[in-house]
Amino acid sequence: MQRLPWIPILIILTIFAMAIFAPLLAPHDPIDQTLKDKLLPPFWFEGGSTKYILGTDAFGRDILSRLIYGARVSLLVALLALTVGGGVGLTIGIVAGYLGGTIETILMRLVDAAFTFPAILFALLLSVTLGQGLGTLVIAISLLLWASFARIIRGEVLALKQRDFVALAKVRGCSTLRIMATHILPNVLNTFLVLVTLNIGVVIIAEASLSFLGAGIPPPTPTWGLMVSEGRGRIADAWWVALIPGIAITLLVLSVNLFGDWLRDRLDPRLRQL
Amino acid sequence: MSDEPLLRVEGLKKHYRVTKGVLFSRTLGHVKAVDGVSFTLRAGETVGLVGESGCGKTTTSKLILNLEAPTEGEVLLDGKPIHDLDGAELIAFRAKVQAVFQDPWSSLNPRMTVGRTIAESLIVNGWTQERIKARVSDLLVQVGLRAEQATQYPHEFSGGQRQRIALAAALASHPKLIVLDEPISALDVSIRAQMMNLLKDIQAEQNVAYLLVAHDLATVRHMADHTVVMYLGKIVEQGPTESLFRDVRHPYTKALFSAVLEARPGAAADEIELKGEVPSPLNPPGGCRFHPRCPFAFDRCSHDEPDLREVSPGHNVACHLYDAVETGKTSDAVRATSPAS
Repeated sequence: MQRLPWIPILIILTIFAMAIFAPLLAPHDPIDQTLKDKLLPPFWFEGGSTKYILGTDAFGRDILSRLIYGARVSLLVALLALTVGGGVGLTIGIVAGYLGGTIETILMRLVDAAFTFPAILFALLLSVTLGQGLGTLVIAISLLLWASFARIIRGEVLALKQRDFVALAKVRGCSTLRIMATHILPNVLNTFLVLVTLNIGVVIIAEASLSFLGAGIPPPTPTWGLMVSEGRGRIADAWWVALIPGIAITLLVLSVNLFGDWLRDRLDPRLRQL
Repeated sequence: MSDEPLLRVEGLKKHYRVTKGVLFSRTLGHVKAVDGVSFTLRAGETVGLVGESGCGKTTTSKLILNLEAPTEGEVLLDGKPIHDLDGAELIAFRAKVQAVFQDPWSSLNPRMTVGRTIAESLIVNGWTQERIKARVSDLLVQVGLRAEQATQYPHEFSGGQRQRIALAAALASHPKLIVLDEPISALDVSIRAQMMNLLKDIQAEQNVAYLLVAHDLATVRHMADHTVVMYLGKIVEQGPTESLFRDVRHPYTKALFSAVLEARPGAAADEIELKGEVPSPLNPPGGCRFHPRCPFAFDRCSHDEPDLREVSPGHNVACHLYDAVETGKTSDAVRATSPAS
């Protein structure tokens, strides 16, 4: 049994706290431009100032403040997209895998179709038709996610329904819905959880790509992905503009993954220590 | 006891279509897993179903449990056909017919407490929480576990304990019939007797009937009142366990018996050793299905399928060797190989 992963939990909590208490924590307005202070390095480097602890970007905006406010958008998008996309994928995977037959064939062909569809293109189409914003972003990323969730969960269900306890549940008189809810779902939750933690990175990167292409949250609202994209062109002379939000993304994704690993073990009754 | 048996299986057939190709599939043939099986089971009685792997024992039990629909034939419980039940009637049927399967490692949901697993049929039948709790405690004690173990998970138990939990779950709804599909063959030899005695005690107390599917003859002899021997989807011999074990008639049954190791080496003088594999049920041999492997086969066996005929009260055999019995002649070849009881 692994120990409680204190450091990842601390990092995740810090980022959540940053998102929730952003207006209280941010030293500056995240969209306030001070052009005379543009591209200042973090304070511990030559030319840096304690006024802007993590430096400023090309428009003279405080990176720390943008990072704090950006956590809001990134976490919200990740949470919503994983709930919607993951939830749809989980449901379709269980239904297709357990019911089988024609329903399975139809659902799995839909999954195949979703895989062949260029998600970025679809997101661009959505942003044109629905307009840019949080809703469009969540829908676009959910469409990117659900198919892989559905395919993996279905595979798990196929193996699971061969187990005797599923047949016995039927013998006991359980309805199909009850079997799916009480016997199948709890046994694929592990896989689902691991998929969620693995996909947080994908979602944050997807949000970044879409924001960069102009299909995501419109600037100047800060998001981590957008900040990396904005700093990308100046990586040689002002590396901190892209690197600092990059480190934030890495820390969040890594922490969530480590936490997910621990949670997976914790939820498995076979590995639980008593 | 009334005349109507608890369970009546009539001309039961289950054929699986074998196809080739995905989009434009064509039927290659049918696997006749069960092909015309009939027997009855009375309340509080045990019927043993024996035969080697692939003879249709498990398919028969799945049909009786209403987990699969038969191709032909009927299963009647208390005189009512079970395969067209639905809604409340189906739930009532499920409460009456329960099962314990072979593998104790796969028959309990790893994410459900043992108490919840045992309570499952009671929850479905709408029992109240307090009644369920009391019943689960009773059942755990009845199968030799402690009431407070209800909150534990399956991985905390050994194979033998798991099998007893599975039995407790099967008993919960006061069933009239429990299908025991190889209930002890996955257990350690040391705890098999324990499990068998537990099953017999419960039967004596609650008058529950068992359909015991097994390949182990000793288990069947110990447990069953009536024995049914299957080969390639058909019944080849059936009768009261005592008379069948004393006077084995069908060459296949004899072969099964001679495959059992004797307690006294050298005692089994007339052994029948079967050659070859069980033929594919996709393309079973014509005539008697056993004839390619039967040491006593003669002309008629290869083109004429034998029917079950009574050779002594309640004892039926499907074999042409006993056609002679009817006409008064006794086949010497068969008599010579009858094992001494």
